Amino acid sequence: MAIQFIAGDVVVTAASMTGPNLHQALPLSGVVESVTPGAPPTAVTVAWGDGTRTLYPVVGSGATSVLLRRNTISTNMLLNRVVQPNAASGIPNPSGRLSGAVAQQFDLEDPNGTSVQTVVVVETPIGVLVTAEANVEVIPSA
Amino acid sequence: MAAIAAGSIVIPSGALGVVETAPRPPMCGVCASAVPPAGPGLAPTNVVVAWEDGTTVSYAESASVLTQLLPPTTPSLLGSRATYNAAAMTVIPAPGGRAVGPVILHSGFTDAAGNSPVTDFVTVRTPLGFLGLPLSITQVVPG
Repeated sequence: MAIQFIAGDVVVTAASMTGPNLHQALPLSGVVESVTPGAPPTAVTVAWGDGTRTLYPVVGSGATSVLLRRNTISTNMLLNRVVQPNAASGIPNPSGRLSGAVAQQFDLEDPNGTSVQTVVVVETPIGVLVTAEANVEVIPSA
Repeated sequence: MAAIAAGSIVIPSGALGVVETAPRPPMCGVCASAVPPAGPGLAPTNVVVAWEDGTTVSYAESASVLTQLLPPTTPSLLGSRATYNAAAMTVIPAPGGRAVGPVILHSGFTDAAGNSPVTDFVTVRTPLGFLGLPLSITQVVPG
């Protein structure tokens, strides 16, 4: 059963989860400080990891989500493994520049608690790649 | 294309300055809410954007300040080394390879009202900063 955002949830911005263009910093995490229950919830206040705090009057759901809950995964943990985009992903990888170590990996849910996908955050030589776990493969020798 | 609405992925139009090198790449945001345009070809108003750094900003007028990101319309150059093409180099100097670097962003885009330009744009991470280039004046450099 889907559980909507509640205080204490760890969240990331949906904007930091866009891909496959490269970000230049690891995604910022925050904790939901307060929320008005609803479907979807509203008036979500997040205390971010950099010490700032933001009130989101509207957080949306599904394709309009601006915040996503991050949950730890229990299987297929790739943290610290070196990975590369696989052939099926359609993500180019010229000269291996989009290969790198997995810095973060988590399941994402929208504000209604609907599962979105499992993502990996890969530190590449030219930026941070955020993509679905299904889009990467482990480099065997690493 | 449609005008910016809830769920649209946007970047600041100010980050699209071409030729000059910027200190940081465009930041992504997602539109949380917007008042629909008053008519065709017009931009939405009161656009609230949730940026990837956790901040939110409300834009009373979005026409000249926000740009929508779309998938690239040509094969992505992400990760390729790129710089100005030969035609552009007749007017833009690129001494010492300082305008060369890997592509970290390649996107199609529209303005806030949903009007599409005729070319994609790329952002190149150079030794001096982040270079925004229309795809029409971009070339891939071997290596």
